[in-house]
Amino acid sequence: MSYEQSLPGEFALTGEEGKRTRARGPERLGDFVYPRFAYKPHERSGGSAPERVPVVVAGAGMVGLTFAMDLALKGVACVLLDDNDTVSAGSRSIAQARRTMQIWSRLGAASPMFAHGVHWSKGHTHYSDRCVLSFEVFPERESRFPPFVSLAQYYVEDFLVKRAMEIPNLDIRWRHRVAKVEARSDIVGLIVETPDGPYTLEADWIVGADGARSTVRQASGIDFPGDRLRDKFVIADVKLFGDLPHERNFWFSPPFYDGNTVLRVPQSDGIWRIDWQIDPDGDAQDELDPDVVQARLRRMLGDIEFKVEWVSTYTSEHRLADTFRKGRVMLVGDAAHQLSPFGGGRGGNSGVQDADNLAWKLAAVVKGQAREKLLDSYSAERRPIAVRNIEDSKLSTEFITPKSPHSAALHSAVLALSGVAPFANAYVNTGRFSVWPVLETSPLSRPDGDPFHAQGRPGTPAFDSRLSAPGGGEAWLGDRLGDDFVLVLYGAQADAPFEEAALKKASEALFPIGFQRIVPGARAEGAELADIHGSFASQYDARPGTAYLFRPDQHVLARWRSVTIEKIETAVRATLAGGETC
Amino acid sequence: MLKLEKVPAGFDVDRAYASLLRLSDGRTEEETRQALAALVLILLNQIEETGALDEAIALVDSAMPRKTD
Repeated sequence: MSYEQSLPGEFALTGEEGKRTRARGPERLGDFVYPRFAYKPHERSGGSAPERVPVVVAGAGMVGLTFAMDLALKGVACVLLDDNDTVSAGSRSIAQARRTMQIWSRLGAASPMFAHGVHWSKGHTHYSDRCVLSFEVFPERESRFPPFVSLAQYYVEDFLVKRAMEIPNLDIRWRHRVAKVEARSDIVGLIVETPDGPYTLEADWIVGADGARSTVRQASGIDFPGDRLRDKFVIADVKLFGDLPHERNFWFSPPFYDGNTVLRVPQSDGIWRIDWQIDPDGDAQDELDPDVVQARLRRMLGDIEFKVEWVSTYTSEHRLADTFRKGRVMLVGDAAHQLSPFGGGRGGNSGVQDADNLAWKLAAVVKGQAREKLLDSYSAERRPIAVRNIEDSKLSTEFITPKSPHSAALHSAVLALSGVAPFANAYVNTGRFSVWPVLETSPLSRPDGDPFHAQGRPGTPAFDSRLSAPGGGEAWLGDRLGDDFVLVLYGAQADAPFEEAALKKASEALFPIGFQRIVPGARAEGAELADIHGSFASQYDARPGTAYLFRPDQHVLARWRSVTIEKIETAVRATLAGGETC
Repeated sequence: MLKLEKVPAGFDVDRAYASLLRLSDGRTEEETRQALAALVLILLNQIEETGALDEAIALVDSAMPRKTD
């Protein structure tokens, strides 16, 4: 990780603390003690040939760790390089979305995050001295996970590293910095710098998870156009000694900070993220003066006792890589797309979704199960989502800090009317929250051949239905999907006959394909799941015989009212060919 | 883009114009622009109701800021 590479923007600690932080990172933040991961010198092989590995991942932030873990768990040897030896400085990405938790659950890393994080779903928006809008995030979706688990990035990365160290095939090298990348048609050559000097490394593939200033992206000649915003904010992790409800609060021009915005979000350990807008033409360093910070917070918090644990300033940029794949180079997370923090938690979460999308594809290519063309679908699927995230982030940022007289007029009109006229509430925009988007542009999705509701169409991420397991215990559909293709068939054998033996044969010939049968209403028997609440039938427009084929990243690939092994084989074969019909 | 082909039946243009002018009474230019933005918001949400204008103007008039000094 690099403290000045990732969003949200430029971190600029001051004084002695700043010097120490920039040099090695902080020692602790609240109750969190920063780990120091052991540096190991590169072991040179006996011969003169450089070390060669299948995949190198640059950057062990939350996205790089997620990707490398997923790949290694799929049996692909992976070297993960990072220029630091600890985790993120400051809380940074704190809103871990439901979908992100599902991905980490699949990787065996979610439990400690779920236990340690703060779960929130309610929020309030204030204008001047009145609350104009109270909301609940995604209340309609049932899932094992809440809409958001609020957990600082340093905790997330620490839990990920602990899990990563248990995974064979994953070689994490701390204080090994990617200094040079040369990608050719047949190989990627790297110069890696360490405290003991540089060494050469060769890889079949490289994945850049090395942040907005990605060395991998720059060395590959992939442009990263975009804009730098004028707005400046102070960001602080503040321990509050008071009994505040775990809810998000956003203020427009509050009495305690007239003319500006303030955001307050709970984290674990009694720490809250507090952001406040500052004069874009002023000196940001002045705003980091401890007396100024204390005075601002005192006005915001009234009688609540507090302790500032970490503070910095940031500005934002919106940038997008021209492509997420160029030959043997792929980009994920901030290396591929950069958002303002008012994207509703889309920065870190969309990066983890990038990793989820790419890992199974690259693993399949490395293992010879899929054609290289499958990798093109990564950029085709994820880049349009990044475009939309940036557009949404721009709209949120424009509403929060209007730049033109027209948007200022709209901003004032909406805030004046919100709480008075319910329709105006929809226009209040303090960040549209991270969603798990449909892959609308996927070259892999199989068009519907049978009549279905639009919900659950190919490209849709799986809805996490609550089911009943054999024996009567609770089961979640999301836990039954992932890593392999999975066919989910709705209906008892008598109503929806299907020969599992044929599926097993196809699995052996093509790619592992799991099987789940869900029966309506009744108690489950054998290996079946029971849709006792009717949620699967409702969410998936299912009736006896309906079948859904899910991809290894839990997205719908195809669906049919009546399935045959030939339909399944055709869909899987075309997917592994990158969307081409064989 | 929203395009109004013709004035809806029963829409009193003169009265509407007078109501719109009243929106600027006692308001600065900036406040009037905000009031008009609010009015557009309302009408976009109630475009199928021909009687919405009076109600919308009343709502905006009461909710939007008005400089008094």
